[in-house]
Amino acid sequence: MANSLAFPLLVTLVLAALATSVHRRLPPRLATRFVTVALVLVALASIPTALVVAIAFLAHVPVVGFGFTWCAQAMGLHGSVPAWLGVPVVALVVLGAARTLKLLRQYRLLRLDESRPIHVAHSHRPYAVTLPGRAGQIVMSTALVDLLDDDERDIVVAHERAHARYRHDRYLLTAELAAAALPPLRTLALRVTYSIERWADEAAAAVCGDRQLVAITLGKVALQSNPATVAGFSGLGVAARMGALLQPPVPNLRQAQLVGLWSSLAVVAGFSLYQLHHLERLLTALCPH
Amino acid sequence: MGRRPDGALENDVLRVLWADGGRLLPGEINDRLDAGYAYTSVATILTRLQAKGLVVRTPSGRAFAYQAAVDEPDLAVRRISELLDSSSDRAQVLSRFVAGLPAREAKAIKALLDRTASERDKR
Repeated sequence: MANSLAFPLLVTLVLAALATSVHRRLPPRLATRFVTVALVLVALASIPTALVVAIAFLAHVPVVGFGFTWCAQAMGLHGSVPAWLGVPVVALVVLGAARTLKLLRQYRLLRLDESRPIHVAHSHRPYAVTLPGRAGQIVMSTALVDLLDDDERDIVVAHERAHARYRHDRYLLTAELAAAALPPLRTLALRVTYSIERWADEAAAAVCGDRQLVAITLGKVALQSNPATVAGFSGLGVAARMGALLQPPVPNLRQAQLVGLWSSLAVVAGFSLYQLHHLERLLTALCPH
Repeated sequence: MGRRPDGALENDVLRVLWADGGRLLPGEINDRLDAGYAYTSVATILTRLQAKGLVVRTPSGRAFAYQAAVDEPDLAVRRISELLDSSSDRAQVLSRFVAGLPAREAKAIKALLDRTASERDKR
């Protein structure tokens, strides 16, 4: 049983990772959408699967299992999940739920729908951020304002305005939620966040007309910012964004290439749907009409 | 009902004050919260909010009446500053111009900056 659940899932994940590995060769707007769709497809397949495996395992644990037996029966899970698989998956599900709730709370505290001018906050750390929400409120720190000249400051503002205009907070929330719920999705989530930043970088470059200056501004701010404590070196950071800006812009895809690109996701979607049908019987049992 | 994080309770109390717009006594706030908190926990939150400068209090009979000192957008902006000042990796839901910088990356960035600077000099 464990195999029948895990195999299509593994295929879905690997295919999605392969399909989206071209993201740096796509125009950033397309890359953002493409990787986000891939991520959502994998999340749709994997998050319910993790739940099913966790329930099937718990159903066979004495005492605890009593409450889960009907669940397991409804899903037709008669085989048992071995402890080596069940224990980590239950831990993953519990941890994922906690991390997801934490993220949603953070989002709720920060989101803002009422607009006002750019806010300059007193801080010795240089930062510029766009708040999630319809308003797209931009906050810059005094340290950042002091660090940059007028042209560079305009670049930062154009970058943040692009985040607001194209509602990048939605892509970001989707990516972060998926990665919070299931850590193996982090690789795909990183590709989404990188593409979002690239999108805003190119938008800023379009406004100022000097891609090199955008790269310089990025580097300047990055070198003054805080060393990350947790986020490791992913190869998808500021240096990669600078490198992309110092190269000629990525050309748009030809029709045939676009068809190929989205077809690769159709395969991922197929595996994801196949995986999802494991959940169908549980839902039928929950809604008995 | 389970214990809610303090931040959430602070937010709920502020929401009541924003909705009212005027001064309210702790008891009145508790009634409007409609969540069955203990009077003391609401009072504690109000004291904490006052210490943070988010509410102001004025004597009213034998108790204090409270009024919001910031509006909602102000508070969101303050939270960002706190979040970004405390640690660089917690603000996951924010689009930042530049997030934290791993040590290994700094070297690569410096190299790119040097190269670009010399190219620009030549022009």
